[in-house]
Amino acid sequence: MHIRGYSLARPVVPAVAALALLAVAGGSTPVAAQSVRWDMSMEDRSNSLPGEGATAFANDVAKLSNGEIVITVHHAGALGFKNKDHLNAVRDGVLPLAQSLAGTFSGQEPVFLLSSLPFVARSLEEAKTLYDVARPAYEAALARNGQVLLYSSPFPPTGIWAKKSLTSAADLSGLKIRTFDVNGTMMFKDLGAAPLQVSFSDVVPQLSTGNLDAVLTSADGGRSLKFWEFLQYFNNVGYAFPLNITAVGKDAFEALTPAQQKSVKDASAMAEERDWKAVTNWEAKNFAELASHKVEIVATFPEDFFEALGKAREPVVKDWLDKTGEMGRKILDEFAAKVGRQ
Amino acid sequence: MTGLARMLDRIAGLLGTVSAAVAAVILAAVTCHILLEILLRNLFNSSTHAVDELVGYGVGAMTILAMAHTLRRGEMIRVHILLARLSNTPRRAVEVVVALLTLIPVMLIGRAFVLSAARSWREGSVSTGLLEVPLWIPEAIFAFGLLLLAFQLVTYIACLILDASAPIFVSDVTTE
Repeated sequence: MHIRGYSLARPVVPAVAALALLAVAGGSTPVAAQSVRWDMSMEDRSNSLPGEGATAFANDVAKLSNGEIVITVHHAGALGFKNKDHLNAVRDGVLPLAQSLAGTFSGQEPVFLLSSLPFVARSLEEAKTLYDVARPAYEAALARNGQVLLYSSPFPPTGIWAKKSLTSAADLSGLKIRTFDVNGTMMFKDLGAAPLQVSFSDVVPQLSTGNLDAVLTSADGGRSLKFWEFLQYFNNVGYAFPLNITAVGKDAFEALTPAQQKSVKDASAMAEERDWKAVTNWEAKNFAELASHKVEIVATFPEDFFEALGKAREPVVKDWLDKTGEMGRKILDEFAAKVGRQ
Repeated sequence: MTGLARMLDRIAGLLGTVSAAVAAVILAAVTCHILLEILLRNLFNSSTHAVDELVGYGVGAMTILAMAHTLRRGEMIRVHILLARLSNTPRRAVEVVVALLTLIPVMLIGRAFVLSAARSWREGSVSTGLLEVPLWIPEAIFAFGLLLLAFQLVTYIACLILDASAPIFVSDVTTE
């Protein structure tokens, strides 16, 4: 029976595709000839925080431009581009616009590593301040690559999932912790831990075989993979506040009329405000779910623990300053002046 | 003209063999790196912190570097339902057409990698991994492998047209 079911199901796929094409073709006829159609690529899923934000952004652009600009958001990397491909794809005009995890551009433009530098910002408010301070540098870096910055979307803060609450640097000693980039690996090595760079989809198998006993990720990430079966503590140390950046190709943007450009800019400002607000609610929802699974959220830490972490981040920050020079120094100084500490 | 075709064929054969040998060395190196990583992780609670990156480049490089040689040995996967039924002359004509058609995407992808490698070189782009590998290196390897495959295809076409005794690329395996 199942063999017959299979053979019956197969011809349905092309039929559905053909119908969908017809529907799309039919739907496009009433749209005015001067309308702009943009395909927007992003790697995050449609039900993720930045994914939902991008859908709302596309709706706002359509509304504000009276339907003249139609942005189709392709979530989950559906167009085949990864985050790090976006910088060149938009620059070469292969894509009109894209949303990308900022840190993935750092091989070409080191300034984008800023948002994932450990322990620079300590809260979402500080992360926003840091972004505002760095925005001109981000804009300049994108301009070098023929792009215009539209808006930023934050991810929930990165913390440490572990089997206990962490209160001192000694708790990190020998800890088999999963990291996701070079910064984290370098820093936790300096702290005497045993960091391993493991891709997110491999984390659960590694936890279950005992290859890992802590995970560096957000509360949100841990919730999505049900970490509570292995780890009962989320240490909300505010390790980093990664950002997504949405940028449009300069040529595509300048092909718009001034009124159309304004509608895209206005929708971008709305999207930025919405996403930065949404991340707070999103985090509250995560914490509620974690609590229902008896995960303890550790929020306060002794100051000397922060001091040890602050010391360990120094080589990473210095490395970044070596690459970004004067401009990087200026960003960190201005940020320090605004939040009142280094 | 036959002489020219045969000379091109010898050059393509030599380059293909050298590049396939390099692919074999990369395969061995990648295997050793993975074994080392397993050992470090399980016994020493440590890591080389570069296994994803290097193995990624290695798998890409060994695949592309071995392509020209694989084609020459007739070991590319092909559908023989039609080819096997053709007699010599029409089979040679079909081979020429098919090789020409293959040449188009190979040249396009090869060109993309050449341009990309040149840009990475110019702008000093590096990978975001621990090693900060200059991106032009893997890209140039991919570009070389693809251009070599293109050269092998051109040589094959030239041999089939100019040299009546040139062989058709078929694998030694007699199971088909």
